[in-house]
Formats: sequence, C-alpha cells, structure tokens
Amino acid sequence: MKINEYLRVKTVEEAYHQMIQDPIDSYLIAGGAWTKLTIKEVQTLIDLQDVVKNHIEIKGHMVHLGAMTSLEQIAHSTLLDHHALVILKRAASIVMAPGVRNLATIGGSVMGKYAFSDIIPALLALHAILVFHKRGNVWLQDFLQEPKKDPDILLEVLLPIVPGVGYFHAMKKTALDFSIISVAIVKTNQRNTMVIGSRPGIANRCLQAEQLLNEADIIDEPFLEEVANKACSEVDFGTNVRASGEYRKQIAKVYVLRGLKEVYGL
Amino acid sequence: MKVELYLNQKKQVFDVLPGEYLLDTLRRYDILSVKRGCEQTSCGVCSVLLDSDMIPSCSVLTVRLQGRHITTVEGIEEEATKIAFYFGQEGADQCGFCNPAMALAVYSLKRKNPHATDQEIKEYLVGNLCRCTGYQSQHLAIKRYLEDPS
Amino acid sequence: MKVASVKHSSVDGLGLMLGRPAYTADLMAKNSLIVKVLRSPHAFAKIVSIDTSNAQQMTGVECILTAKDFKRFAYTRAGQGYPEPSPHDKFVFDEYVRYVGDEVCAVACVDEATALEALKAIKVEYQVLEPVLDFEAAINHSSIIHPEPEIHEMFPIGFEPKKNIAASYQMHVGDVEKTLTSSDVVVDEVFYTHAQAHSMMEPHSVNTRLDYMNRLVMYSSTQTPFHVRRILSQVLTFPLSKIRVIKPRVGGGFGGKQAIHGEIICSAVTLITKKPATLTYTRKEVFESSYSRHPMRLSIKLGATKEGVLKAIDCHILSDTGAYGEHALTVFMVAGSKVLPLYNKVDSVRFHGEVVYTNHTPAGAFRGYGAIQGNFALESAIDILCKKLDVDPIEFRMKNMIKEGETSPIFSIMGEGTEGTAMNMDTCKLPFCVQKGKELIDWTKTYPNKSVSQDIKEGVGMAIAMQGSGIPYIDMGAATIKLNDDGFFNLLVGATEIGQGSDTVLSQIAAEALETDLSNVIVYSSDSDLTPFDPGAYASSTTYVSGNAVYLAALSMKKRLITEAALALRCEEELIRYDGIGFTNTNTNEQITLKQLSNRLFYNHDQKQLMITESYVGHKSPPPFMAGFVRVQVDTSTGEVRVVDYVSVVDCGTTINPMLARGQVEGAIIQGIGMTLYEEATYSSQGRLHQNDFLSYHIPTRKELPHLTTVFADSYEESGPYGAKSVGEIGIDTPPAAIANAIYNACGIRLTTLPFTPEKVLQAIHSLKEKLR
Ligand SMILES: Cc1cc2nc3c(=O)[nH]c(=O)nc-3n(C[C@H](O)[C@H](O)[C@H](O)COP(=O)(O)OP(=O)(O)OC[C@H]3O[C@@H](n4cnc5c(N)ncnc54)[C@H](O)[C@@H]3O)c2cc1C
Ligand code: FES
Ligand code: FES
Repeated sequence: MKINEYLRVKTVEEAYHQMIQDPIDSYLIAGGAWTKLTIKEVQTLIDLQDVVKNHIEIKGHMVHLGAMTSLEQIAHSTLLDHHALVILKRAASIVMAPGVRNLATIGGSVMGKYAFSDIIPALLALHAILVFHKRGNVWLQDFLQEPKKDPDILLEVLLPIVPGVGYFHAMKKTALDFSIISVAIVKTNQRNTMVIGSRPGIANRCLQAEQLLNEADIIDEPFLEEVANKACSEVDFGTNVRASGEYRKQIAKVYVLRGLKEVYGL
Repeated sequence: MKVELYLNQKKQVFDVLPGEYLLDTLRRYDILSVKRGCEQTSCGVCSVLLDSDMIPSCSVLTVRLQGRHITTVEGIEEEATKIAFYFGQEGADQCGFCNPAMALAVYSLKRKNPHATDQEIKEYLVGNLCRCTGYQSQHLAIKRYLEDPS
Repeated sequence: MKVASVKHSSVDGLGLMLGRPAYTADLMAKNSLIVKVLRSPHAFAKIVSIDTSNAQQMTGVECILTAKDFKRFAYTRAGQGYPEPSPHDKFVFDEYVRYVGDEVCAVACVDEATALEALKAIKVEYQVLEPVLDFEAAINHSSIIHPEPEIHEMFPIGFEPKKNIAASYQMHVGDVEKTLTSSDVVVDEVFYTHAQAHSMMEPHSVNTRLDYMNRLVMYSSTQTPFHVRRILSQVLTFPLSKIRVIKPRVGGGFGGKQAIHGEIICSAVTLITKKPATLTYTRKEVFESSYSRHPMRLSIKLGATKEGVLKAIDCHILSDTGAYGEHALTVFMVAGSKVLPLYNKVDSVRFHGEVVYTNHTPAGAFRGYGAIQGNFALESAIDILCKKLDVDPIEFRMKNMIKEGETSPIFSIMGEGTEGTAMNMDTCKLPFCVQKGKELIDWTKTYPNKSVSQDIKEGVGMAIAMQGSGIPYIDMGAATIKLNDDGFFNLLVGATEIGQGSDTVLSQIAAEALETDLSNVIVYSSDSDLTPFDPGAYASSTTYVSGNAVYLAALSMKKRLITEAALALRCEEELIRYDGIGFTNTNTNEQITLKQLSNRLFYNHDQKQLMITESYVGHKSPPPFMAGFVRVQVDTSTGEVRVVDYVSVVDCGTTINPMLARGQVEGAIIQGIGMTLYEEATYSSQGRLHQNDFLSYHIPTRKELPHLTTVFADSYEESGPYGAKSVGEIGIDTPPAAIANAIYNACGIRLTTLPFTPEKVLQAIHSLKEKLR
C-alpha cells in the first residue's frame, strides 16, 4: 500500500477530527484485512488500535462487543454461548481461517457493509445496535439501509440478550469460499427474525415471512414450508460468478426450511 | 519510519515505509522462512505469530506493530525440528513451501489446544493451504506431534 | 533390499521446515532489479503503438523492454525435448496480444513501487480485435489468432494456423463405423472438461545475474532446467556455454513449471543492464498468464455385444490450447494413448480430433496430461454402457480391461507427437486393484446407493486408469556418482526435484545399489554446470528413467570400487566381497573398509578420482495402473456433493519409497477431487478469466478432505530400477469419472461437464425429476 501519513491516534476524538477535516484523503483502519485486498493508496491512515475497545463484556441485558474485537475472539467467546447469540459465534467461525479472523474485526465487518458478509446476517437476526462516536446508537438494520452518511467511528456493537434459539447456515463451496447464500434465524418468545444474506446483495430481513410466523397459531411442517416460500419470494436473488439467482433462491428455501425446523424442533 | 518490535524474542528496529507489509519487511531483513504465496490473505504460507496468534504477514502493515512480538519459524527451531520429524515420518512434506508456516501453525495449536480433536485440527489449519500432500499425511503427523509428551 | 522399497523420511524436509533459504526467491541477489511485465487488458488486439517515454524518464527505471529489443524469432515455451512437438508460435513480445494477461512489454526498476509506477506510465494504443472465446467455434473463425508468417511446426503435427488449428491427428484400428453398426448396444456421449489451474503454492520465480566471467547465472523455479537453457540460448542468441541454470528447491510444479515463464525476460534485463534482476509472478499472473489444463470436448462412442463384450471405441476430441500451442498435440494425444489401451480387446478403435487456438490463457502440461480428460470421458461412458447393458460395471471391467502379458496396438501407433513404441504389459495388476478396491470401499454394501437421510443419498463409483513412465526413445536421463575421501558419495542428477521427492528416491536407489546408508549419499540436482543432463520433471519419468540412470551409475561405481579394492588387496576382482562397509579378500580374509579405500585413493596409492556417469533412455514406457473407488454423499435438495472416502489401489511396480509414493497418490487424488468438484475456470464475455486468485479459485482445503486409503499392488517391473514404474501422475486420473459414476449411482443423474458444482448437480436432479414425472 502507498501511505503518506500514518496516524496512530490517542483518542477517538482525534481520529474523528481528522476524518471530518479531510474525509476524502483519510482512511480508518481496524483489522486491515479487507483494506489489504481493496485499498492501494491512502493519504492519511488512521489506526484505531489504541482507542477502540477489543473485548466482549456483558452489561445488564446487553452484550457489548468492542468494535475492534476480532472475529477469532468472537468465535471462541464463552460469553456468546447463551441463547441465540451462538449464531454470531457460528458465523464468525466460518469466515475464512483463524489467521484472517485474528485480523478481521467486528467493526470492519459492519462498516464495510459487505454483501458477502456472514457476520451481518447473524447480527441482523440478533437485532444488533451500533454505537457510534458522534451519532450514538443506531439500529444495524437502519444503518444498512441508509445512504452514505458523514464519517463517524463505530465504538461498539450491542446485542440484546433475549431467551431464544437461533440457526445459522452459510453455504460455501469450500471452507475458504465466500458464501453463496447464508441464512440466519432467531426465535425468541416475542418474535421471530429471519435473514438471508449473500443473495448476492447485502443481507435482508424477510419481514413478511417473519410476520406469518409471529401470527401463527399452529406450527407444522407444511406451514413452515409456506413460511420458507414466503421468505424467498420477498427478497431478491441475483446472479454472479458464484451462482445464479435461480439457484440461490432454491437453496435459500431449503436452508430456511431446515433452519425453521431446527428452531421449532420439528 | 522506525519500528521497534520483538522478532523471535529479540528487540529489533526496522526501517520501513508506512505502507510496507510485514511480509516484505521480514523478507527484506532476511527472514526468508516467511513465504510469498498470494499476498491476498488467502493461502497462509506467509503466516507468522503475532504475540501468540497466527496472522498472515502479507496483510499487516509493519508500522502498526510497534512494540509487539513476532515469531517466525526461526524462533521456534527446536519445536519445528520435532514437527519436521513427524512430518518426515508420515511423508507429509513434499515441496515444502507451505511447511514453515505450517510448523508455526501447528506449534501455536499445541499451545492453545493441546488436545485438539480431528475437527479442531482441521479448523485451526484450514487457512494453511497445501497443494502437494492432500493433507491426510499432514493430519496424521500433526496428531502425532500433539501426542508427543515432551 | 534395505534402502530402496522402505519408508524413509525425505532427505530435505527438515531444512525446508526450518525455513532455510532454498527457493528461487530466497536466492536472488541483493539489490536485484525488479522486473514487471505489462500485460494485455484485451483478449485479442493489435498493438498500434507503445509510448514508453514517460516511464523512461522516471528515476529508478533502469530498462524497458519491448519487441524492438529482441530478434524476431518464433519459438515455443513448452519446455520439451528438441525438436518440440509444439508449434513455434510465440515471440518474446509480438505486435499482437492474444489473451488477457499476454505480454506487451516489461520494465526493470530499482524497486517494486517504481516498477508498478512505470507500468502505469507506459501508454499502449490497441486496435481491439474480435476474440475467439468459444473453442467450439474456433475452426475457420473470421478472426485468425496467429496470422504471422514466421510461425511453424518442427515436424508434421497437423498445424494449420490459418484455420486456428494448432495441431490435429487421427488414427484408427479396424473399421469403427462398421463395428458400431453391428454392435448390440451403442453409447454416444459428449463430455466437457475445464481449465484447471495448477495452483502450486510457490509462484513462478526467476532471478539472474552475470558472474565474474560474464556468464549468465540463473536460478529458476523450473521443472526443466536443461530445456530452459537451450531455449534461452536460441531465443536470445546467447551462447549455451555462457548460461548456467540452477534449479533450487521448487515449491510445487505439477507441470505448471515445465514451460518457460519469466526466464527470457529476466535474462534479457540482466544481459542489457549487466545487473542482477528478478521476476516473480503475482498470484494473478500465475492464474492468468502462466497456463492451465487444456479444456476439452470429448465425444465418445462405444459399441458392445449384449453379452457385455466391448467391441468398439470411437473418440473425437476438440481441445482448447488457448492463445499458444504449448503441449497442444501431445496432451491431446495422451488423452487417447494413455486411456484407450485400458480396453485392449476391442475389434476397432478410432481416435481423432483437433487442437484449436482461442483467446484464452494458454493451456499446457499438467499432471495427468490429457489422460485425466480422456479417463473422465471413457470411464464415464463405460458406466453408461453398463447401465444400458444392465451389467455390473466392475464385472464388465474385469472382463474387458487390459491384463498382464497383453498389449494394445495403440502403444505402437501413438506416441508423444510421433509414432509410439510397441510393448507388452509385463506388469499389470489391474484385476488385483479392482478386487481390492471393491473390498476396501465396501462396495457390495452400498452399490448402487443407500439413503443417509431424507435428502442425503450415498453412492459408490469407480474408475480404472493407466499412465506411462517416461517417453521412450526420446527422453534421456543421466546420473553421476562421485566418490569422496572418507567414503561417501555425491549423487549428481539432472532430475528435477519439485516436491515429488525425487532427490530422496534417487538417493535411495543409489544407496541400495551401493549397499550403503542413505546418509552416505549426498544428492545434488539440476544445475546445468554441475549435474548431467535430464529432460526434467515431466511425463512421469523421474523414477523410471532417471532412476535407471542412477541405478546404472551406482552399479558401475560399485564395480570400479571392487576393481580398486582388488588392487589394494592384491587379488583378483572375483575374490573381493563387498558388504557396503568394506571389502574382503575372500582368500586371505584381508580387509579394507570403504573409508580406508577412498582415503587411500585420494592421498596414498594409485591416486585417482572415481566419478562415473551413466545415462538411460527408455525402450518402453511401462504404464502404472490403478483403480479408484469413491463414496460420495449427495444432498439432493441443494446439490452439494461430499466425498466421504477415496480408495486408491495402485500398481506402480515396486514403490522405492512407499511413504512418498503414497504421498504422490494422495496429493493427486485431492487435486483430482478439486478439479471434479470445486475448481472452476470461467471467462467473462470479454475473455477475462474470472477466477484469478484463491478467493475465487477454490482448491480443496483440509476441511474438504475425505478419508483416503491408498494401497499398492505387489508388482515388479523388470525394466525399472528395483522394479519400479512411475507414480507421479496416475493418482489424478480417476476422480472425475469415479465421482461422476458415484453421483449417478447415488441419485441417478449423469454429469458430463466438469466441474460438478452444486448448482449443476441440483439442476440435473430437477431435470431428472421433470423427466420422471
Ligand atoms: C480473504 C478474505 C476473505 C474473507 N471472507 C469472508 C467471508 O467469507 N465472510 C465474511 O463475513 N467476511 C469475510 N471477509 C471479511 C472479513 O470479515 C473482513 O476482513 C472484515 O469484515 C473487515 O474487518 P477489518 O477489521 O479487517 O476491516 P478493515 O479492513 O480495517 O476496515 C474495513 C472498513 O471498515 C472501516 N472501519 C473499520 N473499523 C471501523 C470503525 N470502528 N469505525 C468506522 N469505520 C471502521 C474501514 O475504514 C474500512 O472502510 C474476508 C476477508 C478477507 C480478507
Ligand atoms: S501470502 Fe499471505 S496469505 Fe498468501
Ligand atoms: S508441501 Fe507443497 S504446498 Fe505443501
């Protein structure tokens, strides 16, 4: 990479200040894994390693993930062994390999809004909240849909701890592949959340299908099949080199149904 | 820029451009066990240990490592010799290009998870590609190394 | 035998594991100029102009090479013996670029950053031409990929560049049409294979310098150091005597390093600047700009009696050699010559086809070398035939396949671009391989399938295969053994260790023949100044051809030692007994150790250096054989296929080192599985290769690893060193067909186009359901 100036900031405010002053030529780096693949030249590189937290803690009914927490930490954290939170562990543990996961951070995974992300579907299904330096709390779901905003620094990702169960599956050709499709489902006492990722567009919730489920009285296999059909008819699937939209739709249906059956114990 | 880090336990100062990746720095300073396979975070032959964690050195800027510990296979020669013994016993070394990084990975696995199951071994080493061996002989060698009490 | 035919750790594994400098890039001179190649963004274009003036003025740019810097000379990069069976259709730089990634010009700079800047500063104006991207439409396409008048074939290979044909060939035995018409059952199928990438872990690398005597000294990650030296000398008109090519450790080749890659450009930089230079391919260049396996369309017709006797095989192949014709003819011919003899009892057989130019990344040598493509088609077709006949595919093979003592007319008709060599199968343990494999995979318990769950179906499948052992009457290998004081030996071989373990195996052969310990044989390979000639690591030749040379050299050395011992012990040679450690005069019981004898020869009496060179040319190419058996699980709802077990039973003659032989088979099986299921090469409509990194090109990881069982048949090939045949390639041949057959057995779909991606599998399952409805 070509870098003119390397800035290892001492405070978040210092980083923020630099970003606001020179948004075009400044670049934030967290783990740097994706940056390595995509960025060839930067004027000012702002290194967040000293100012953004890199650990996981539980405060009240929330899991707090410092934005610099690595995916490998997440994959092994016992704090995430509760309820549906395990789907985040599962998602993290299938991203490439330990070496990459030791670099890649949860913050970078969110801020990149990667369409291929395995992390975002899991976070979406868990109703993650993003904590920014300036903007404060923002729902991940809103963040994904909003147009590009002024630069800000992600400090934490919050996950509500709600009793329930979860399912996560990502289909890859080999272990080091990007997902062809990913499915995250969370069932709690209050509601069901279903997300399909790598469509190949960015992960989407299946709101109508969720509603069908939430309103249902009797849940049996034919009904779950109907829900799976609904889920796959309300999100779009596209074609890229990895797979066709048609194929994605077919297997999304299979995995959504498998997931539903698993969380409903059918 | 000057970056001071502990390379194989020894404090050393490296003179780098801010955009230089660790792989390039190490090879420039004659640490040649660290191989260049893809420079795209996807083959694992450039792996080193950062503190106790395996990372692809092709993807970490050296300037960011001020004060950190880096271990290459040169720093674990005794263990690597043992690992080489088991690899040799199973015929798990062919072209050898993946091997220094493999030795580091196996070494760090033993420290983190000495009783790793078959599945855990595969999970841990999945990013260390090998095109020659077909992996099975490596797997057997790794298991025997993990069982080695010394 | 005490050294050969025993499991022995490799002689070099420890040093490599410890990361000692050993590979080409580890051995470049400090301050080497960094060479980078400007590559074509177009699949087919004429270069109108190249403006290097801006780049010339940049500080740190030492040299820019364009077509003007080279004499116009058509050659082939194939890296084969001379005259090559590949068309001479390549110029170092040309006025045309013929694929995305083709060479336009090159820069040499003080560092990489400058080199990349310099590439950006060079302005090239292209006249974009219509590319040929569909190999089935290449013949007589309106675009002629090679219009240049200087290109030529070295001997007739069916070269017709005006029609975009790089090579063509046809042969037949008997009247196939007639036999097919009179057959009770006929199968007529078309198969497609794709451009697998070698994906060796070490990218192609070369570095050069002038030594103090103005000789060009090169380290190169090549499989063919002696061919590199010859071709370099021809292309640069630089005397052969002034070139030294050293092949250090090579980080995997699989055929991908048989050809010339960066060697000529890097050498030219050094010759012009007088400075050391280095050129290492990026991973993208390895994918886009080295070469891949030849994609093929294979049309197969089989005819059989209703009793299950195979009567006719008709095979037509259209092969895509990409932009240049490296290995065009020979890979295509091997798809017949090392496949069709498997069924030698047919009345008639025909093999014909064309190898066409397209604007794709060139194709070249790759482990299996056509046999894997041919095997996929033939062994799939055999199973299709068995289904039609309603006979057991194993019984069918047992009845119709080639057996020990038999021959096939194809051996004498088809060689490597020329006529072949008649031979009998002095060793062929195929029946054992098939029986044993059937047992080990537990065939009868599963065949054809069983259900694992509602969605998952398990099936077993199999295929048989053969390969060769070197190229008879063409490729010569040589070995030198040198005695040292203290009684140890240097073994100098041209044979090219690229990870396959040849340094170890050849040392074992030498140690065995010299009756000494492996540690007493110090091997040094592939240095054109120091070691004798060898064609290189290809055609499964090293153990058999080079191994025979080592064997002969070791025997001669032993004889010489006995002569010298007889002198020392003052007796007739016949009275000398040698036990590896010393010599005894059996009359007097007087003794002299090897150590004493050598010290005496160096310092005391009858002083002389004992150094012996022998060479070997094969008179036949005894095929190794194998049977591959596979168990797969197919998720019929998603199309995902998992290989659970792979059983290989191999007849490669004696295994000089059973452990390394197993390694060759296992590695090849996984590569074959990769080609069958995961690895895919596709092109954009503009002719850009989609998969040009490991993020999109998926070689198997250890998580895809099935359980591998590898067994060797008891076999002794008289003509081989200690009974050995070859084992480097055979392992890769069976997976495509065996897996296709297993998937068919599991769920009734017949896949004919590689690779079997989940999407294709599911599509086939859906069409089958449609059909059954
Ligand atoms: C080879 C490879 C394969 C991968 N495969 C997968 C996969 O299969 N599935 C998957 O889900 N992911 C995959 N990833 C993505 C991986 O998870 C990303 O590397 C990671 O998501 C990015 O994290 P990072 O810390 O490396 O980000 P960086 O590269 O440091 O940053 C990424 C972006 O986020 C911004 N950013 C980072 N942190 C902050 C912050 N705190 N505040 C504001 N902006 C910030 C940066 O400015 C930058 O634009 C892969 C990555 C690589 C390199
Ligand atoms: S060179 Fe770093 S992962 Fe391949
Ligand atoms: S031994 Fe060659 S890549 Fe592993």
